[in-house]
Amino acid sequence: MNNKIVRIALLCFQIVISLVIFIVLVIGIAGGESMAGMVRLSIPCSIQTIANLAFSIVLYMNYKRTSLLDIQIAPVLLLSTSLENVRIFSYYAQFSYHEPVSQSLIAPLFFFSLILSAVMFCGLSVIPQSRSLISVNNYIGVGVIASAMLLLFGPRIKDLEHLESISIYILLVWLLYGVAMISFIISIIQNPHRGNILKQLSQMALVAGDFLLSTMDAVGLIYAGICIYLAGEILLSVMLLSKSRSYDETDITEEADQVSSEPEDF
Amino acid sequence: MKTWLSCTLAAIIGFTAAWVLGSYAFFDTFIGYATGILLNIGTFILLPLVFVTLMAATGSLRKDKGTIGPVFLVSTAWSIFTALVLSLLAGIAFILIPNDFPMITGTQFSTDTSLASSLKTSMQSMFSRYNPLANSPFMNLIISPSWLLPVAFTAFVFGFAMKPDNDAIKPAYAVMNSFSEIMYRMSHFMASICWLFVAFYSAYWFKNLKSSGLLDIPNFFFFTIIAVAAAVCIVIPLLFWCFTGFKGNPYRLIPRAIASSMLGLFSGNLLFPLTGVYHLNRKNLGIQKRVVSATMPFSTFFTRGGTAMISTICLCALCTRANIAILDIRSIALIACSCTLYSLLCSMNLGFETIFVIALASEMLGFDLGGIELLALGALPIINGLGTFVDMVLSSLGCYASAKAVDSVIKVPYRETL
Repeated sequence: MNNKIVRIALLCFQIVISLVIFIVLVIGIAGGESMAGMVRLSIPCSIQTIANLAFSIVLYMNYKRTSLLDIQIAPVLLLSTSLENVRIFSYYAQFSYHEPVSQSLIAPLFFFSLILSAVMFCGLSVIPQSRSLISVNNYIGVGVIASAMLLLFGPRIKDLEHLESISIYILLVWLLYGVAMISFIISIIQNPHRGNILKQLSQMALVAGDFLLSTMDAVGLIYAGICIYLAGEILLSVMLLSKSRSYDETDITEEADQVSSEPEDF
Repeated sequence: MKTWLSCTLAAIIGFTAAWVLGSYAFFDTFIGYATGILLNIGTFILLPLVFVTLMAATGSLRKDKGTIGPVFLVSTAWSIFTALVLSLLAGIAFILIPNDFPMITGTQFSTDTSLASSLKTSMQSMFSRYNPLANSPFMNLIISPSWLLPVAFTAFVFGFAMKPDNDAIKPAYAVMNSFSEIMYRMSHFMASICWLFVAFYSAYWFKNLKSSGLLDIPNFFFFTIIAVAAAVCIVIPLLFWCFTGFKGNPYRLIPRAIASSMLGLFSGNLLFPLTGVYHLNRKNLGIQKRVVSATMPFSTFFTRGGTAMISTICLCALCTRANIAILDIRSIALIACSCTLYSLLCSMNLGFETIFVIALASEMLGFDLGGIELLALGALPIINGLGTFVDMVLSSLGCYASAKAVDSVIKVPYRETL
């Protein structure tokens, strides 16, 4: 992910997803009262997508400390969490009685992005703590292929309403989110500095928010999820921007003094 | 003579021939035979070319750590992003200057024929027949000359395993690389005689244009031509700059790759110019062989921004003719998104991409066109050609952007270009 053009490519994917979801929301809003239910369910999805896009742009513009593992995973993670919001098409179909895109296409795509997000959250929490020399790019590649293979060869998903036959996927997602949360807590216990606690808490907020947003049906929980998710993302952005500024200043001073020192993780 | 100049002159000759001799019966017969023979000549090395070069390229990209991912990622992102942006902009332009789809001479209407469902059935049967995961790709290699997925899939798998990190594998890699050079030599030959193909196919294209009736009500035709010109001269260069962070000059690259785009325009067939494109991209744009070989086969599936754009314009015009109210941002955005979606699948219907996208997108959006979508069949050589022209430009620039991502570009002085 150190390559600028690759980061632009990922940002373009993010823009495409955001644009499509935004268009569907606008169409829903234009649909009047009959689509009010769809709009209520879709607003958190759109907020998450737009927040992810904004955070991706912040990341892109402050991408100086490329040695950080979490920053390398972040573009893929943001992309997959944005892609989860393709379920907005399912809401649209539910309320307008018309399927712009087939449910048999949307449902596997949703589950692919959900599993991929869970895998990336796991990586975000586990890889910085592991002492083995695991390559982040390999982890991302294996995560993408494993998620796709699971859906290709596992039980078939036809729509997002009848999920009884695919409880294995939901169980897997719960498990991965659980592992991620436990790893973040372990990281806080192991390294109880203020900076690390804030970082882990914001990442925990992302995990919890995304979990509520993607796997819960109750509107209240979905809105709670988006609030938690936004809080986590704003906190991370602020930390990233402040660290980036201090890193710039350190860099200039270091160049003058010819002294090298490692900047702190965000 | 440089390819851009020879192909332009050939197109002028084709235009003149069509206008002067177009009314004679022997011209039809002659051009019909000639284009058929030239099509076979142009595509006869396509399958071995794609198989050998993609295999060698995948092995080569695997050799250097961190190159294979960026190449495919950048190429795919470029394809999808440009398709969506071009379709949306075409739709917005249509709101500003709405047009009817012209009545095409000799088109038969049939309201009981569901074009969309028959296309869907043929797509499903084609996919189940050629699906490399369900059937042996080796069986498909010889029976799918119009769809490169089986051959590309097989070559990619072999190339992936051909990573030259073992002494026993290195000779195989070297041999395949050498074969790849042979294929590039043949591609060079095809690129050198590109003007001949352009001369014959342009004559056929202009004859079709003259007889189709598109020029009787020229608003729609000129709107489409201006949209294509604006896309190639303004929108695509801007997108290219945004995408590569202002690395590379698209106004220098597009004329160097224009020969293959012109062949795409006049033949309306994306695979036909592909044989020459390999050498043109390497020689004229300075892109390394392995990046060209890896990205070009996949661009035939995904780099369909031009087809998406032309389909959006045509579907909007057909809706206007069918009195379906679509002149609002909401409908236009839906049309653009659905055309982009189906453009990613249109490679299964070689030569009929635009009609495929129009029919399936209108069905998805629930537009009842009452059979007038068949009007697009009459204008197919023209509209499909324009779409393919933009697709070819996008393919070359996408290949360049992918190469930039892995620093595989060298600067070629103008006098050394083909």
